Amino acid sequence: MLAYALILMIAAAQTDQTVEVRRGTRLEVHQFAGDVVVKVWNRDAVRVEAEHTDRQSVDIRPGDQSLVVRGRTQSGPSRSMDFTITVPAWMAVTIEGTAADVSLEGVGGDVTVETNRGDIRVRGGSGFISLKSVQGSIRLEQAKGRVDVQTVNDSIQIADVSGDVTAGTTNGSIVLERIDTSNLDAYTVNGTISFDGAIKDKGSYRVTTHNGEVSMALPEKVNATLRVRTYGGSFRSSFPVKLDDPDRRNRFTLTLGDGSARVELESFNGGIALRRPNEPRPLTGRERRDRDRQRQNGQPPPPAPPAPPSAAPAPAPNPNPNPGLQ
Amino acid sequence: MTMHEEWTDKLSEYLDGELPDAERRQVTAHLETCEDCSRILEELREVVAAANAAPPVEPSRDLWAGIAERIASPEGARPVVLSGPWRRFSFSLPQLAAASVLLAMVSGWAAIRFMPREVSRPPDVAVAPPPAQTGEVVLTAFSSNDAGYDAAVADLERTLLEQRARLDPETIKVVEDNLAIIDRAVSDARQALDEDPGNGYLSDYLSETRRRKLDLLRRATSLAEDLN
Repeated sequence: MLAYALILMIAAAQTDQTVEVRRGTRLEVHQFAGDVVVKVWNRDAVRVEAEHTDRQSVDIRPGDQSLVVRGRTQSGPSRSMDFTITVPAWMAVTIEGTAADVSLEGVGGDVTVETNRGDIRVRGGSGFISLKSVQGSIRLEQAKGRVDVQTVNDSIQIADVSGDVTAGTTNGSIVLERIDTSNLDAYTVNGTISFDGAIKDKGSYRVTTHNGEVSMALPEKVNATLRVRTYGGSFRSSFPVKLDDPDRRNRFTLTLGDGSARVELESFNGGIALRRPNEPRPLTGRERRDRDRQRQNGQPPPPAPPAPPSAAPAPAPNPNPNPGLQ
Repeated sequence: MTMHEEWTDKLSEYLDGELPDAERRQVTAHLETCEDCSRILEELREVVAAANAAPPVEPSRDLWAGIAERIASPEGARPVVLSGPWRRFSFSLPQLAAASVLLAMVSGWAAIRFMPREVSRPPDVAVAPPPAQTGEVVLTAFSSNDAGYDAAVADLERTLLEQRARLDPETIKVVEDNLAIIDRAVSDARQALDEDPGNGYLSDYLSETRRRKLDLLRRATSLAEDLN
């Protein structure tokens, strides 16, 4: 046991290097596998900390426009390496990995993350924000700019974001909360989508799924033309609405206010639901599974998703179970 | 190609958010100093905004029957492909009409530069040539036996198969599982469309769901290439 511990100590190595950078320099991290944690400080410098074996090394290359950090394995197959990188808040960050879990906290510039297997968590970012995974969930908070979030086999959560938003997955839910955008495109094939945010005059909002419910929070005063389209699902609203063509229950247009914004809500097999912003959103599939599992284990169920703060009073109970079709 | 055309060639992709970061920054810097490119970009924005703002109108069953006839006719077999930089946009009939009018008003040079181009990728949405009698612009969707789509899928699947060894088994399984999910969605849409051939919503939906499959296949092949 002692010998084993000794071998481990010998094999272990550590990198801790700080490099001064000029304002405008971009950080590029190329990582095979492992955690990449990026945080900020108030120095114009980048600190790279990594735990690795003595067969691995960290290649740090300052350049005119970018600082490139790359984990290397000197012999044999590539191995995992965990990075903690501290950057100036203004710094744009690009991270590419094969099996990397990526977490960015407080960054203030462009953010580009692409990983094959791994979750992505980003708080912050402005300008152009592109987050892509294949097998991993993505959560983006407190960002502004042009947002493009794509995964394949997991869920997406975006909260407190302003700017154009595109969010797409194939097998997973999408939750959009407190979004301030004039241009939204959210789509999945297998999962629910919920949207809660401003509907701006002349804005364009498109929310599409094949299997799952589409839920949209609409404030009382909104100028929007809603195109509601479903094939196997149904429409419901927690508040009274009047359809332009009440004879068409699965595909119809709904004009609110002067109809300025264009809102398309589409679910082939699922329902489409309207609610007020102060009402809780429906649970995602994962949240339902977690709740059911906890119930089976005798644990108290998790609290319902929080409703966003709102000064508006709760709507009066609606006696019509399907008020949209009144 | 002049130096200036090199910039203007990128404007549509810039507007669409499809340029790599470095090129996007270059174009942004160029726009700050070039009035011509800024004006053209603004015109493009107006075209897209006007097209998006056009009121949605569902084509009637009669119209779709006419479309079916035109697809079957020799003229209908020569679609103009809306693809390349425009592929993210989905236009309804009145939107296309509005866009076509606005495009005509844009300068001739810009029109030549930015009219949708034929590319090798399969059609996502096709516009049938306007019939001589009415001049109407007609949005058509994939027919259920779209050979172009099938060929594109086959090409990408072949490429993916060739590069399969570069991806780890777990990723391959995830991609295949998700392709199967999309296939089921395509099958659902196709079955519904077969039962209701005149349904414009279903036709659009089938096109879009197929595009999702192509997008995923492209992404998977791109992943494999990146690992090379």
